[in-house]
Amino acid sequence: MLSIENLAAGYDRLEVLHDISIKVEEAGSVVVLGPNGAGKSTLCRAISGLLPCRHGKIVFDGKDMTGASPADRVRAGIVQVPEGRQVFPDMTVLENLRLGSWIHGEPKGPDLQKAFDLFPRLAERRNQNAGLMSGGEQQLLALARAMMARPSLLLLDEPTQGLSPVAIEQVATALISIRAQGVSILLVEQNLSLAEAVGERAYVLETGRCALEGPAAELLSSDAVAASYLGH
Amino acid sequence: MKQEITFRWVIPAIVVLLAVIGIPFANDYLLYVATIIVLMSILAVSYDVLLGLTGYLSLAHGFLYGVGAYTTAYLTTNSGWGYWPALVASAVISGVMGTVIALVAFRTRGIYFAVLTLGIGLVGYQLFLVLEPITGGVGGFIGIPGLPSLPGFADAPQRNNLVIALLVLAVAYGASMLFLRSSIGAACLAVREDVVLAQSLGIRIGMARLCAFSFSAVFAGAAGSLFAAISNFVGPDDFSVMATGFQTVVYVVVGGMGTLWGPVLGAVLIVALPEILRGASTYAVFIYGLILLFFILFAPKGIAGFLLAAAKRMSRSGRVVISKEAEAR
Repeated sequence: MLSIENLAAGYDRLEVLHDISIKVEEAGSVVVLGPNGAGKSTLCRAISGLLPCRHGKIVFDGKDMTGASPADRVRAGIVQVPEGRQVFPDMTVLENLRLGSWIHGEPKGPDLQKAFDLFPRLAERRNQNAGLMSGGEQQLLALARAMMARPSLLLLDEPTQGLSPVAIEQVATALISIRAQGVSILLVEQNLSLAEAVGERAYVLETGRCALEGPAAELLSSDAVAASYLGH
Repeated sequence: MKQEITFRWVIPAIVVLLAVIGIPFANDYLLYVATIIVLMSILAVSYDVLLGLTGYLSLAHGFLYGVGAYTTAYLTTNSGWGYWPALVASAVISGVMGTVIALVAFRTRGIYFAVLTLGIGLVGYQLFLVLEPITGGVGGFIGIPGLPSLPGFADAPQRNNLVIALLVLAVAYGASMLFLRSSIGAACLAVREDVVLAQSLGIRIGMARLCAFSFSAVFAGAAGSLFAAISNFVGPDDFSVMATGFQTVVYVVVGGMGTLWGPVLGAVLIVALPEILRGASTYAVFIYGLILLFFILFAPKGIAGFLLAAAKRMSRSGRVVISKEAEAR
């Protein structure tokens, strides 16, 4: 479904990612792990089109997306949940969700219902300003909003950042049920417990290169990975 | 939120009421001042679609207002066009001009956008001076035909002017409300709040803000067109950055950005004030300056922010129950 081939990307004169190749299967879920500064967020930005690729190819559903704009990628089905609980704080939960379905035109009842089924907490708070909710709720809202765009591939940039263990568990539950709907997931994470709960295949990034790759369960349980890349 | 929606209808209702009561009795001087207020309101409301919705501060709108005025002046004086076709042409040409400016200016953001449009405003003003065959240079245009009479207003040109200006304001206000509620309006708000996040939702950010700029340019042109016909004279000084370009920003900021009705109140206050203070003309500019300082320092959300806070306080003391109704914007 998504295939990244020999990707290189960076900022100004600094190249952050070198020669990255990642594959996400149809309805598959992939985690990309790595310490701070390994290039995880840069990878997300390159896939969502916020950052141009310097080299290599991004192919999605058989179409070359390397030069496509962020808007075109969202329309093709690659939807990103940006880093750091990104919601519009001064808008209500409902307004946030509506903006999620912006590419499909105005409010979609069934989509909204689906989002509320998945996150009942949001239904209760639909008229509250998003900025007044807890960190965990904001993250769930960001997730629900991304789902409003009807993604076929959901791209998540460290969704557990700064969240409590309880909130992390909620995010994990949500991601598992999103996967069950047939949506592919590409999760970029530092948190091992979420990676274990969601990941099928795993890649480990180290200073902008793919250092390891393999089935998530195998890779994550290996002591070498925990010790050398994630500081456990 | 709820109060805001109420105000969106209450303010226009008050304007209509004042017009119905006041127009038959007001003298020519009052009618003229009211007409200028309405012209500036057209400019302010449509400018709010740009500044309030997208957060981009343009100083080129004085020039666009001028493009509308000169287009009407030229077409009605030199080419013998009727006023209504000239009005439409002015709006269209100003809109096209605005779109071209926007395509250049949106390569920048923040303070650079303001400075770039300031440059465009300054260059535009010089163009009005230099392009003498079209604009009449320093002397400008004289003897521009007035507005055509509406049925029943043939013997009262000042009343006629005010009514036509009010009709155009109604169109501008209605169109701005539609814009605000449209999906492009929603996209503009998202872009204002967070550009990266808006992009990640698939919003074409360039398209959204370009639409807002072009929209405001169309109505700036229409306001300019009315101005040309009402004052029968057009000269470059009315369209300098300091004259109209900067004033428009002041109306919107003093009135309250992003509310559409706030800028109308801003235009009323800023245009009416020097007239009211005419008796104390020595202090007029001084007081005007003080009022600006007051708003920037103590009421950054403008008159609208003031009124909304007051309304909220009143409704809160009235009932404590939190409304659970689904609330569309």
